Amino acid sequence: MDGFALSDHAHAGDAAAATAIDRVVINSHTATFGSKLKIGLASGVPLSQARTIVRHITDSTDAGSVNNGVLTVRAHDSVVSTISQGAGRAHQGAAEGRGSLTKMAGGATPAIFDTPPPVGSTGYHNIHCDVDKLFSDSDGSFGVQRKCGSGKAPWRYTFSPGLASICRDPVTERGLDWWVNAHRKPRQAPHIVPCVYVFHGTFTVGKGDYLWYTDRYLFQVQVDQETGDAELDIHGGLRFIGPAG
Amino acid sequence: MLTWDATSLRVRVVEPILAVMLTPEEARSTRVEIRPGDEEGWLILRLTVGPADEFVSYLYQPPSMTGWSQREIGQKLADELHDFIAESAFGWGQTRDADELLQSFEA
Repeated sequence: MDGFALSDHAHAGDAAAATAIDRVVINSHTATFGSKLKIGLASGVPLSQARTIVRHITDSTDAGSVNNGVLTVRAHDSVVSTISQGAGRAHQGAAEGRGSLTKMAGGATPAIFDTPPPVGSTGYHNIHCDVDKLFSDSDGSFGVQRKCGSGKAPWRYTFSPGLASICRDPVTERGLDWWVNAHRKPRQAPHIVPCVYVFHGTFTVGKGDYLWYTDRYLFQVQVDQETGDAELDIHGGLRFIGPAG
Repeated sequence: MLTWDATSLRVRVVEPILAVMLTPEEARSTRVEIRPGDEEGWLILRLTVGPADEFVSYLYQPPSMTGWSQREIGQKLADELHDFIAESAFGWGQTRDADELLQSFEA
């Protein structure tokens, strides 16, 4: 990404440049959609190499901050776009199960973003029926739609090309947690799938419902010879507008 | 208040649904495990079908599923199995459901 304008010495200074980085954190958020990507590096790497990892994912010009071996960078704000008029169906990708899904499902992994914003607040994006909305940031894109008159809203999530380019199969998805009008709903199914998988599921909602969701993805990344363990958390808020089923 | 444990879920929900959504040959190659989850009272279902296909479901999740009927729990499981089978090696691209069976479940 040629637009990346940072050097090792911008913001961080000589001392930080000499620091071994053992974790990279990339944050992206708006009021209604966001993600947090944490990459742990088993052996600390120079700051310049940590920024090479960042450049694969985002062309943000945020120099970030270095603290105790952690490089934290703010990615560009997410964008919301309208894909099409009319309710189509979420595309489904191929699945290949490997790894330890059971371990993920049974492990005590503390969640973040698991407190929905107050119902009626600005933390929820209006989703009009028959309109396919896509929320995108440097880590990936979350799409959702609801056919007018329906009580079902299919969702999908895909990794961004940049993140997919350094992701190593498989990805373990914990399963999506969601709340409707601040009431928690049953967690959706977990998956072990390739990096290019289209994660997907269905919300059951009614007109005017406020819905909050979070999901977590675990996988490995590789940039050049460097490998790391990645943990991606996504979250967002939706409010469903229009005739319900 | 309707309560569920691993045995009642296995006998009244899981096994009947597997019997209609899997072929007899697939069912014979399936291992079924229900065990506690990471949150209090949760029960996790793990299926291994044949040599390669693994399915995991958060089968029962109080408090968000407290009081759920046999049909409600079965519908959730059948929906998840529907996706799993369509993406599995043994049932790739197939659309299978348990709608008829679910109508006989207690609502």
